[in-house]
Amino acid sequence: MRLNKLIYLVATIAASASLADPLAEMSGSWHGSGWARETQQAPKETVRCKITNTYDDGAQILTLEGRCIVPGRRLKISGIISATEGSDRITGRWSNPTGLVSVPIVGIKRNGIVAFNFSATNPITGRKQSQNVEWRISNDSLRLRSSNRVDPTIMMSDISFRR
Amino acid sequence: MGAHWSGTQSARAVARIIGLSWGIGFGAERIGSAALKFPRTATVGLLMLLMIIGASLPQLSFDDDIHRVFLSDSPLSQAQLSYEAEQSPPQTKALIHINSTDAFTADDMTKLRDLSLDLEFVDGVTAVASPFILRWPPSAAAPSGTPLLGVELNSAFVDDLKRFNALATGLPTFLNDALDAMLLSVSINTNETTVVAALSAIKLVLANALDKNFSANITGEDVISAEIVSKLKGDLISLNLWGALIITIAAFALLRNFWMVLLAVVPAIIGTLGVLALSVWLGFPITVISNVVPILLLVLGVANGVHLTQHLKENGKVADAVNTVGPACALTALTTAVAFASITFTGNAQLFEFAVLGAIGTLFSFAVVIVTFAVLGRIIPRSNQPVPQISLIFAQQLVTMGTARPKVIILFCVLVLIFTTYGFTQTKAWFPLYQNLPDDSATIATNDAISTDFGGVFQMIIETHGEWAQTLALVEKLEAVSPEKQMLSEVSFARWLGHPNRQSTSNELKILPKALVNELGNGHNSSRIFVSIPEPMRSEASLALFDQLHDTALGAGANAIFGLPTLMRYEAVRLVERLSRGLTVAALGATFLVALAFRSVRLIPILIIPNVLPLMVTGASLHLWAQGQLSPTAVLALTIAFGIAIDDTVHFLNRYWKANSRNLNPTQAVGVAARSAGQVMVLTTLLLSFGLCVTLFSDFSPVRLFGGMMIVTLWTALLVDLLLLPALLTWGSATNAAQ
Repeated sequence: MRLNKLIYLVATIAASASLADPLAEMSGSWHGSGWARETQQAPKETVRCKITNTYDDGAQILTLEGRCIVPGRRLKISGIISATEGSDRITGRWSNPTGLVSVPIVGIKRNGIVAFNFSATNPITGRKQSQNVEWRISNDSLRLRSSNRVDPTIMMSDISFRR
Repeated sequence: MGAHWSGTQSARAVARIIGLSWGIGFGAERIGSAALKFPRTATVGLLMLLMIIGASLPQLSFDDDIHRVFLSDSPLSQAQLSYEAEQSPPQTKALIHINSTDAFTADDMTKLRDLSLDLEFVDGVTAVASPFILRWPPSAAAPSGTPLLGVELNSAFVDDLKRFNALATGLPTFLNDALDAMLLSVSINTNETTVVAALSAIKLVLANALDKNFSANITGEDVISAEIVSKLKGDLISLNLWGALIITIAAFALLRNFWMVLLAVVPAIIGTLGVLALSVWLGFPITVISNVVPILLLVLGVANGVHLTQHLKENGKVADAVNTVGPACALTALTTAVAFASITFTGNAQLFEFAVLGAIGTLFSFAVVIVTFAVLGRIIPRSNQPVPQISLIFAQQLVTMGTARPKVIILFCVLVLIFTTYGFTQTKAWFPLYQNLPDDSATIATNDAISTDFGGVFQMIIETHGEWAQTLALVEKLEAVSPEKQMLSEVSFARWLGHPNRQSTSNELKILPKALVNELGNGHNSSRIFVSIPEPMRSEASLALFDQLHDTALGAGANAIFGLPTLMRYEAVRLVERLSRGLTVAALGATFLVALAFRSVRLIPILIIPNVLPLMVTGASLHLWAQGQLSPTAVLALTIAFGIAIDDTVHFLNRYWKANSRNLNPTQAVGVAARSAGQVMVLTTLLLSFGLCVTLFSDFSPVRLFGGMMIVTLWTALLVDLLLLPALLTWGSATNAAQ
């Protein structure tokens, strides 16, 4: 019984530690599936992604690299997220599956969540986009959700990842 | 006619001018004499050669470029090569034909969409075209267009497909009309992976994704190449192993002595291994065509081995066998090499390699055979075991018939020659790709199914440099003769965008994959139209469809037409024509060579008729067993067969010549030749037939055709050499005797 309590205690501490640093938890290779839409009025499209995240413990920088596929189109996904020592604040750059160019981001990391927002102009259509992006880490899964920044009830993507 | 062996002054003069002080083998047999003179050096040399061969054989390579067999130096081939060079990175397409027992349901479509997405993640895959890439025309809300088959699929997808078809864009939907077959076109970057590796990964994805209600088969130009190569290796090994075994057993049955068999067969086997190694040294990969060279040279080597061994049995001296039979063996090697060399003029890279390998291989094999015979002949115990007399009786009876009624035989043979020549001229140049696939290949059926459901596996590429109106008119005319939805062009996208009468702007085309845009217009103010069709020579109907499309495109102002189907249709015919010219060169070249060897111009007609007749008989026989189709393989077989058919004539004339020089009259000399050479000619024809029989069990139809034609030619040549040749040699003297 004591042994069980000990294991529980160690697990809780470990979980707390990981929750305290979601960027580190996001590192590794992930396969995701879900949906995304091109504009807030556009219909959902089936999407598959494969990303590889690398975390630099010393510099506290997470580098994301991968590709997402909707039938007939393949898009690169990439980003660099830096944590600020002693703070929840994150900064970096981001390009998302809808094909935007790389844009600067600012956000937070807290309790298994990495969230940031960005604004950019689509180089092909000229359309402006502003989105909230949230990465949620729990156990061995990762979930990416994004929503319209002006009207957060409009979801732009929802992709679940597994290692 | 009376070919009394005086020769002619002119031939002797030619021989003197080019310095021919040697016998009919042009001195090539002296390599055997040298081996007898320096046996230790020869033995060490042979052992070293064997070691080099052993080290080289693991490096054998196999040709995996399907286009090479059709490519030449023609403008059409150059257009194809330019198009291929333009593809950056180099791409190939694998087509997956998926069938269901029933029409696809919404659940099925969901699974298949997941499959198409999974395939995108296979290493080296750059794109997957499927029904799921179809989109409704762009709108303000969905600038790239709304997917036709959305995230939540339900039974309404059937109606959506109908509505999409009603747009009449001409874009392929990758689904057949019955909705029980789907086509996935997987683009593979061959800089990133090999076709074999990609196929293996694709098969794994298919196995994981599809349940028992589905079946999936993969095809495509490079998939076919990969399949041919994978089977070719096994075929090469089994052909040569079984060939060596069968010919050894046959030699044992005919020579009836272990040591004599060893002496006849071992030199040929070493020669054959040497020829395989030669392909490595020359840097030539093995192809479906050159696959037959080693077994061919094995049987030729054994035939020479039997001639040498039989003489050794009769006379007991190795040197005598080398000096007496060696020259004839050398001449037969030269005539065969000439036959191979005549193929170098085709302008086709693959056939050039076949010709060079065959020509050098024949001479190399001869050298190895005669040296090995000289080395082994010194140590192998002699045998007095007589060979079966049936071969002698057979030879003598035919010769007797030929000399008894020469006029009748000659007349009969001339009539057969006329009849079969007519038959041969009625064959049709034909080169179907599917016949190059192994027999157990599922690809042939898959290609047929894709032809039925989606037009075909192969793409005819039509290029036009005209204005948009001309491109539009060209597409419309092609659509009038082509089945629906088998064409891809800029016109399809203009229709999809709603402005068929105007070319799409570069901005509009940005929503399409860049590689596709580049393929449709090569950036030089030209536009390409891709038409999916079956291989042209699959059937008369597919040939008619190709010709109709080709003529329509040309009539509507197309600037260039290429792609594999065009190569298969035109280069194949051109190849057969060039090979036929090569056959003529081989026939004339080998004939003049033999006439020169015997220093007799008068020999030319005596050589031409008996050696052309077997070719015409075999050529005409294609009507009986190859639907009258004259494929490049068939012409190759005829060319090489001529080189081999003349071998028997050489051996017969060699013995006749020697008898004639002893002041025997033509009839007596023919009798001597029949007893000595005739018997061995029957034996070697039997051996060659046994050896070549293994080709009839090949997985590849061209290999079987080649072997079958060789056997038919060899037997016809034997009959003609023992029947017509004696008749021609004794005709004049028989007339004189009667007078």
